[in-house]
Parts: sequence; structure tokens; C-alpha cells
Amino acid sequence: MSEVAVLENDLMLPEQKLVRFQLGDEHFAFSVDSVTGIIRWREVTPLPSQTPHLLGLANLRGRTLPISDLRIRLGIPSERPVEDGYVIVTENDHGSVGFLVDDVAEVITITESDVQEGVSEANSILSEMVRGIVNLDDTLISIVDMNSLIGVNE
Amino acid sequence: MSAGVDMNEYLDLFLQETEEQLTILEAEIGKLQADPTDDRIGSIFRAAHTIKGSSRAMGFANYADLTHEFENVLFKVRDRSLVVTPEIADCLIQTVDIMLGGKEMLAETGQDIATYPELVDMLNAFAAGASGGVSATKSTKKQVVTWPSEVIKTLNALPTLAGIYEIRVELDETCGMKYVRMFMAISAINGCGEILWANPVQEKLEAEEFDFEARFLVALNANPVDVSKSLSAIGEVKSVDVTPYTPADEGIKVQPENTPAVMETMVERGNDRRQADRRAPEAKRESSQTIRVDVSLLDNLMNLVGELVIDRTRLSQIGANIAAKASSGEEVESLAETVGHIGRVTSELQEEIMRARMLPIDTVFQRFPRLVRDLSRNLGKKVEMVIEGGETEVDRSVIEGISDPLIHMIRNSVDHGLESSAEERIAVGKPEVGTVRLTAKHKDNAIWVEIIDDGRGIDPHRLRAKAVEKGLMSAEAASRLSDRDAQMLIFHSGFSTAKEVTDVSGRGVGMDIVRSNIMAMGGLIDLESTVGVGTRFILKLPLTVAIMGGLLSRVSDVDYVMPIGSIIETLAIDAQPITKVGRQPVIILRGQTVPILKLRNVFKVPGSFTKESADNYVVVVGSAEQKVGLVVDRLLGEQEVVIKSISKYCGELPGISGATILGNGRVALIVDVNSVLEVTRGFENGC
Repeated sequence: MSEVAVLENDLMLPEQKLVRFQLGDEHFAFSVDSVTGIIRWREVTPLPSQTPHLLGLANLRGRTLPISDLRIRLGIPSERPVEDGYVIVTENDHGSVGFLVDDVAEVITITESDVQEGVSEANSILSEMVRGIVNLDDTLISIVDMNSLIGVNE
Repeated sequence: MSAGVDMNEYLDLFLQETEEQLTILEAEIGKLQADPTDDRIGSIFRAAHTIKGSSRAMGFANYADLTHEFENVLFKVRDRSLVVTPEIADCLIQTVDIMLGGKEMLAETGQDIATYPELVDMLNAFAAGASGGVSATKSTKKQVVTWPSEVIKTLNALPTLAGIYEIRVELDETCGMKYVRMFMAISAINGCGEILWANPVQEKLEAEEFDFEARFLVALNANPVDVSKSLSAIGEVKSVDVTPYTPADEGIKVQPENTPAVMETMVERGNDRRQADRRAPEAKRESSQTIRVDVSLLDNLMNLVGELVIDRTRLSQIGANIAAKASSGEEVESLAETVGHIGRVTSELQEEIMRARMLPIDTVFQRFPRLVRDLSRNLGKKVEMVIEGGETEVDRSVIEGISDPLIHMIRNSVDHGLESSAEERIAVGKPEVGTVRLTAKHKDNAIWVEIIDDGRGIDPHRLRAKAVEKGLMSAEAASRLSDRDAQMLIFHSGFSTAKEVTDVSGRGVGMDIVRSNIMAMGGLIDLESTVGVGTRFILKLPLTVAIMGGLLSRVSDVDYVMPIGSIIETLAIDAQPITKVGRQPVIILRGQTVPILKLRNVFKVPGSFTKESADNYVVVVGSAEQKVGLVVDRLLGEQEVVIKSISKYCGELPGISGATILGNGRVALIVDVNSVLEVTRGFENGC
């Protein structure tokens, strides 16, 4: 492919920036658009909620931030204690929420053409939430759809 | 003596009201000519009308007369028989200026203002249809230069008016560059004295917004004849008058002295005094000035202060910790001192900002007379609406929160509370006209709003029957309810006792929503009702919705805040043994059975079952008639908390109305006492 062709390709398919993180042994990413920060795990106050992944409210600079455990949410088993985790803070019209992950790697840039169909495992939650897979340096990264993550809260 | 005090009280009220109306006048009159909307004309007219009425009532005849003339012009403008020309606008603005200055004088002396015959004549002419063409311009020339009240006051304070001159400079009407010429005149005047005030003001002169003529109030330190000569020498100056200033008020008997030697010393002294005096009135004016501020700015300030309040608490805890660890030393002491100071400053700041957010509750109340009038007409009832305590100041957030509930409750009182016809009232020996009374007052660090009607009262029997009929409880459970508890059923969801649904007060989705709205604000609602006599609803509202006094308690690892307003008392559990009525644990409190709930069961917090710590205390919450005891592990004390909303992401959280952040940085949950009460009502009623 000539350089011109690459350039044209990029112009036609705008780049997307995703934040890449790890749950257990698996790699995920979602759009950075609504991400406002990444913080270390901090103590939460549990809520009287029937939602298992909703760990509680944390204090983020004088505001309350609900923390959702993405490992529970996406059904990925992890041995790692929550205290060692990171919280990706997001904010949008549906309110703010912090997602607890095991580790945060980096912000990656992809184009839509990099995204392949398919889900790594037969995991029903994942198949609802993951909209595609990107192969980046031989690592498979599942792209989580932010809207289904924050939209309806079961 | 007491009469004097009373009069002063009225004077204060009058001044307050007049100031409010003048603020409106001042704001609107400047825009009248450019943008004479009906709303604007209407509000100017009303403001003037109010001022006229109240100043007449206070016996300030001249003030009232002037306002009357002003109002007459506005009347013509309102019915579109007079178009606001620049001349008319100027004249009106001038009148407002005099009214403003006059108000200051009334405030200081309690005496009426002087008469302004020429201005009144002009207003009269306008009201009679003169639109202010050439003739009006002529009359402008003759009269009526009003100097701002502070200038006049300063001048009047001088021992003598020697050396104070009015200089009138008129330019040739063919003059091309008015400001250039006038600027030359001003420079010339500046060379031989100090300009105290210019009319038109400097900005207008610069913008060339004047009719070839300007007047200056000058402290001259040169021979007036020389001044006149040098001014006349400027090109295109048509005429110049230099005349000693004489106050409009006849009461002041200072005669100008023209002996140059005396004049000079006087001017020097005068200058010094003016320097000092001029600053003083300006400062005073500033303090009484108002500015419009975007509400969101106040909200932001309130939020920021909220953060400070949290940090203050945290700081003092940290300070106490350090003091406990460190051996005594200067630094620890000065830390404590600084922390203490920050605490005080924060409290003051909070108070001031809260005050800035205060509005008289009339802001909501004022629409109700109209509502009641329309309602009574629709329903064919005779109703008198009485409002008391409209001046009670409450936080903006409270005003917003109570508006809808109050509308609903007042509708309810008129529709359901009062007897359906005058005949029905007369038959039971009541006056034909029903009364709905709406009152507000400050009491016990809260705002009490009461809605009282002299209607038929709430019949507990009917409510019991209704509850059974609607399947809300068994007949047996209903009969166990006290009259009082039965009356409280009107707050139950899906409950309406109106025999038929009316347009006016809905379909029984009313009072429970009213109640939960009030509770969500951290308020309480209560009622007292006697069949045949009437009903009184009592709303106890917090001073502000953003900050709340709360009792902090702990269950397992979670801190809960209960609104202080809904707490009746706290008890150590061993002093009050728990017994059971049926399957419901209760305590007996001075003969009253109070159901108790373990907060750990209400909020099924993960982990709270494993950590079965001692249930040590009961916090009794609710109202005098409906109580529930909440069992907690520990009481951590009373605290002011800043209410933080919880992200929508969390969905419904039954029993929790919000969250807050404590001094130690932890998040605590605010208990929604209302929904907890709902839970026990279920128990009580056996459903």
C-alpha cells in the first residue's frame, strides 16, 4: 500500500481513541470520550442497592461517585483485590460513574477498519456489551460499548 | 413614645418598599424609550402607583404629587396616546432621579421633599399631549437642572456656599462638533476651579448626547467674571451664564459671599471637606445599591462554600489529631488557632451566601390569591384567602421546592377542605365565606408554613372506610387505627376522599406526592384536623435545602445521616427494652407504642450480617403522631452536612434521599425518613 493510500484510508475512517484496560487476564477498551480521569481505588460506602456490581459511593474531590466493578459487570473472574485496582471515571448525561478495573494500560488509537466482529468467549454478557475486537500487537482487545455500559442499569 | 416607634417602623417599611419599587423604576425607565413593551410600561406604572400610594399614606404629599404626575404621563404612554420621545424619556428619567434622591432624604430626615414646580409643569404638559418638540426643549432650558442628591448633600454640609457656581454653557446650534467645543469649555473651567458635577454627565457629553447646552456645578477659585469671559471666547459658544449656586431647598439659608478673599479660603476648606464628604456618600450609596446576579452563580458559590464546610470539619479533625500526637508547641497552638479562624470565616461566608440566596416567601405566596379566586369561582364557593408572614425570608431552593406542593395543598383546601356550598356552612353555624389562611414564620431554626381552613375537617371514619374499600387494609386493621392515624391516611399513595374526582384537585395522587416532595427537601408535613372545625397542615421546612443539620449514626461500617428535623429523640437500647406486638418489635415510649426497625435490615448492606455488632441505640424519627425507632450501632453526633446528589447511574435507592461527605472524607448516606415510615406503616396496618 502506498503512503497516499494509507492517508486516504485514514481520512475516510476517522480515528477513535480508546482507553485500554485489563480485567483478569483479558484486555478491553472503551471510548475515552466520556472519561474524565483515572484514579486509584478508594474506599466506598456501600449502597442499599440490589445491583451486585455497584460497589458503592466514593468521594471524588468533594463529590460522590458511584463505583461499578467492571469485573462483576462483564463476568470476568479476577483474583486481584479491589484495593489494587484502578477506577476509570466517566461522566455523561446519565450521570457520573467510575469503573473499577484491574489495570489501565494506555490510550490507543484505532480506525473502524481495525475492528473485527466477534467475541473472544462464549460469555453472554460480553456478547451484549462488546461490539468488536481489535488485534493490537498480537493482543486481542475487546471493545466495550460505552452506551450499553452506562445506559440501562439492571 | 410608642407612637414614634410605630411611625419609625412604618417609615422603615415604607422606605424598604419604595426602594424596591425605585429599583424597578431605575432599571426600566432607561429602556423605556428604546423598547417600550407593554410589560415594561406596565411595571413602571405599577411601581409608580405603589410609591404614590404609600408615600401619600405616609403623609409625604410632595413626594406623592411628583409621583402622581409621573404616573399620569405613564398612563398616557400605556394607553398608547403618547409616544415616548427623547424629551419625554429625559424628563421621566429626571423625575426618577429626583425620586431616588428624595428617598434618601426621606430616609435621613423623615421630612417630605421640596416641590419641583417646573418639573411638574413639564410632566403635566407631556400628560396633556405635548410630545416634547421645540417647546418642551425650550422649557428644558429654563429649569430644572437637578444635581444628584449626594452632591447636594455635600454642598449643604458646607459651612458656606461661597465659591460654588453654576455655569451654563450653550453652544451655537450650528456647531458641528459639539463635544470638541464643550471639551474646550470644560478645560477652561477646569483651569479655574473644580467641576463637582456636570449635567449632562461627562459620558453623555462625550457621546454628544446633549442639546447644545451643559451645566456645571463648579467650585471656582477665580473671578467669575473672568471665567465667563474666557468661556465666551471659545468658538461657537453662544452664551455663558456664571451664577452663584443656590440650593433649591428654601430651608437652607446660606447666602453666597462674594468677597474674593473670603471666597478663596472658603473654597480651600470646602475642597478638603468635599474630598472627604464625597467619598462618604459614595460608599454609602454602594452599600445600598443592588446588582442582579445570575442565580447559577449563587448556586455555584453555595456549592463551593459547601466544599469549604466539609474541609473545615476535616481540618479541625486533623488539627485535633495532630494536637493529640504532638507534644505541646507553638506550631500546634497556631495551627489550632488558624483552624479555628478558618472555621469562623467559613461559617460567616456560608451565612452571607445563604442570605444572598434568600427571597421573601411572598415570591410563592403572591400567586395564591389569584389561584384561590379562580378556584372559588369555578367551584361556586365563597372563599377568603388570608396570607400572613409573606416577608419571611427563605432560601431560593426552598422556594422552588415548595411551590408545587403548596399549589396542590391550597387547591385541596379550597376544593375538599371547605364545605361545598355557603348553605352547608350556614347550616352548621359558620360564616358564609370560608377562609383559607396561609402563614409563614421562622421557628426553631426552621420555616413553618401553615395552611389552615375553617372547613369540615378530615373525618377519620370516612378514611377508615375508604382504606378498607380500596383494599389498603383489613377492616380489623382499620378499626385499630387511632383517629389521628386514620387522618394521616390522606398521605397514603392512591388515596383520595373526594366523593368524585374533580379537575381541581386531581385523582388521589396528590397528598402523598406533596408529602414526599416535602420530605425530599428535608422537611416534614403534619396535620391537625377536627371534624366540623377545620384542618391545619403544617410544613416544617429547612432553612436551606443544600445544607442540612443531621444526626450521624453508624451501622456496621456505613454512616447514615438522619435529618435533625425529623428526629424526636435518641435512646440507649438497654434503657428501653424491646418487646413485640405480634411479630413487630416495639418499644414503649411514655405509654406510646413505637415500632422499631433495625437500620441494617432496612438497608440490606452487604457484609452487615456478618458483622453483627451490638444494636446500641434507637433513634426515634417521624412526627409527634407517627414515629418509628431506628436501631443503630453507634451515634456519632450532630453535624451540618452538605447534601450531594447521587448519580442517576445508581437508579432507585429506596430509603436514601442523598449522600454527603463527612469531615473524614467518607461518604455518608442521608436517610429518607418518609420512605422508612412507609415501611412501618405497612407493618402497622398488617399488610
